[in-house]
Amino acid sequence: MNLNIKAKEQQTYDAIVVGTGISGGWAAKELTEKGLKTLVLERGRMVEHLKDYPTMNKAPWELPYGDRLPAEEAKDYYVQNRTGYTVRQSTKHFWIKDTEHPYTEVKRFDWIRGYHVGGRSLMWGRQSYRLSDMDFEANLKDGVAVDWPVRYSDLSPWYDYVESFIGVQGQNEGLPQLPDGKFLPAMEMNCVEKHVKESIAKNFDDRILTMGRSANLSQNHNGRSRCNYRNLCTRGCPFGAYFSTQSSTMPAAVATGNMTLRPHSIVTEVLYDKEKGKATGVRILDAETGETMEFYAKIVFLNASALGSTWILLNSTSDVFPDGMGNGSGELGHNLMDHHFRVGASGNIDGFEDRYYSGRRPSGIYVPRFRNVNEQRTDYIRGFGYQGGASREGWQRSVAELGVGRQLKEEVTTPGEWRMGLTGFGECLPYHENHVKLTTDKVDKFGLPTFVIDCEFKENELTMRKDMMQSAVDILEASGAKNIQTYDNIGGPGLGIHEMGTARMGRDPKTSVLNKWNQLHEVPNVFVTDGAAMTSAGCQNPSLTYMALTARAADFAVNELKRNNL
Amino acid sequence: MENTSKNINRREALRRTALVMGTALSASTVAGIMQGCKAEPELAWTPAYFDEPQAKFVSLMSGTIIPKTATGGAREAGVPGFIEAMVSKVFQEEQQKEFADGMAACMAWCNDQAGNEFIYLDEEKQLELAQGLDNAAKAQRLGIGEAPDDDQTKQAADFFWVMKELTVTGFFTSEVGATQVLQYKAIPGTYEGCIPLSEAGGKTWAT
Repeated sequence: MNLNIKAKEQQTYDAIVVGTGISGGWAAKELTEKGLKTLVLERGRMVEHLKDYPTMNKAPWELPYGDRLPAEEAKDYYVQNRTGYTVRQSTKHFWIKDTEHPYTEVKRFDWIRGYHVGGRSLMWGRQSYRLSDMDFEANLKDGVAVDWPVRYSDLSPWYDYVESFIGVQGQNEGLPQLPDGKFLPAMEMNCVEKHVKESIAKNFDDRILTMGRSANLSQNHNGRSRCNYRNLCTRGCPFGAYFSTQSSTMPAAVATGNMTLRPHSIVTEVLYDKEKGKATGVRILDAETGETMEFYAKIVFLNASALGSTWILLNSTSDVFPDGMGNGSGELGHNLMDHHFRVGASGNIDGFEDRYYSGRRPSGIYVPRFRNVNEQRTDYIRGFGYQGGASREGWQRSVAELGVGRQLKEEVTTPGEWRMGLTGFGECLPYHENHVKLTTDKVDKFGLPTFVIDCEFKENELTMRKDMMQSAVDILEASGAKNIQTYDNIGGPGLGIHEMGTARMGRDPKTSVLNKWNQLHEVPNVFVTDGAAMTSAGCQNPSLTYMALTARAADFAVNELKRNNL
Repeated sequence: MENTSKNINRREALRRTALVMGTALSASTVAGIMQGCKAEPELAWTPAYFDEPQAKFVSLMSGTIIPKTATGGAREAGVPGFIEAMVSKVFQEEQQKEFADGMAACMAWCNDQAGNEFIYLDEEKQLELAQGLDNAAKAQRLGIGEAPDDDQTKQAADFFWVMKELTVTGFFTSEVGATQVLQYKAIPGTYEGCIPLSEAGGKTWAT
């Protein structure tokens, strides 16, 4: 009996955080810095900063098969490979094997994941943009889905807070649809990007081109070194110069002495006490030993990624919650979103043949949303932004453009033509019927239920894409581009690796899962502050918003604990 | 033929090898040796997937696409071994078959054009054939110039396109290609977005 009490004490913390990616790292940092003894659970293996970046210093010739995967090995990554860029010799250890983590696609859905400490914070694209009131008010104005329970003024100080800590390089532009931030000096544009920026300024009054805002340090910041322009971020950075859990939030959490990190811990459900009406902790499956364990805490933060957190809630069933914890609304698992992209254009720009660049910049340029900002289109709602950049063609042009022999070898040493590319990233509306559900018909290697995913882009997205392509052509033509080529290769939802929704925030417990503080309406000491919480998608890359929501919710949770409200 | 005795010795050596290996020399190999205008090409690696004629063909064709000049070429940079690794491990089964069939067609095309196997031709003739294949491939793929209309040339040109792709990829990601022919900085340290080409090192960046 005494032993049991002691064991339970040893497994009791003030807070539990599930997941160690972008939002989980933030929850860990905030809760531990506010004095909470915090257990941080990660389903995958440990990844230590620097030590576990095996390829970070490899030269091209040190990577077998030109950085590609042998066909036999690639079979394990049949979904992860759909991006065309994620699974390489240099990065394969950060992506899951699809053979180990199956799911069912009713329609094609590309679920791209990394299960390890740091999650996708290690491999993310680092683009960091704020949502604006244009986004927070959009559902209400358009009569789509439900209204966000927050407005920009609620998040603005938290955007300041997270940007100041992680370090985001970029340029303030004073746009209502893309709020300014606390930025480090913007990285430089190259000659052709500057030219296109000027051409846009001359030819359009509704759009601008700015440096892509990214969580790469343009100067030393918070004890971390500035970028050294290798552009090998996704292998892990030897300088800690981009934001990841490992480089940024995890060291802060460790420094408090309040964090216990437990890798190989698959959270299978959130435990619920019917009498108290609260969660009491979580049950885990130890991925190494197969042992089931329970851990207890006053509050639980779910930061397991949009679909990961929703999986845990759907799997947390009881007589109170037969359809999953906090699912009284029936919206848990619904309104799955991603950004649609892979549409745009590129073209050659003449006149800069004697100019070049030095160094490999880890971020491109950005054209903020300009559609449905002032004037309203009649063919689609919401909008898109462009990411892109210019470069001079390299040796890759040898096959199609250069000859053979000594001639090839000589010609290739002169850089090729300048080419400017623009890729649209568009908003996807929240559709109730785009959803995930659990099935036990197919189980994973641990015997756990898996997802059936039923999601598609619909007419608004498809109509928007035509404009995404044409407007890119317009910009390139206005910039004097030649040989303009367009493309539209939509792929499946999920390819944006911006899964959002499935436990949306809202004002009404009857139509939403989370309240304005990211608490489950029905279980106030459970918080979900990752992509699952998103009520709409915006067209901006969403990670910065998860960070701001997490820091804000953690602050609220700790204050509520102090007031004995949780 | 500058050194008859050397040639005889080599022929003798080959005969012995054949005896040791217990295999007969193929007719084409013998023809090449008997003609004896060019030394039997040496391989810089031990092929495990290609047979010997394939390995020699890949080796010399890659060396023709990117030859040794003041800097090393494809063969010096280990590109033939890279190509074998790519074809044997990275290619799907169907691509492997296409590559093998295409190579056979390309070998035959070269033979028809030059009256001898590609690997025994002098470098000038090899370059001429590679240029012909390059033009045919570009015509076929990009519509530049007149596309070939006979099946053998079409197949040979398709093979050449893949062969060239593999060769330049292997070469410009090799240390020789990246650092000696092009330029490469592991840690640039700074970014300068718009400077004169001469100040940016004057050469194409490898990455």
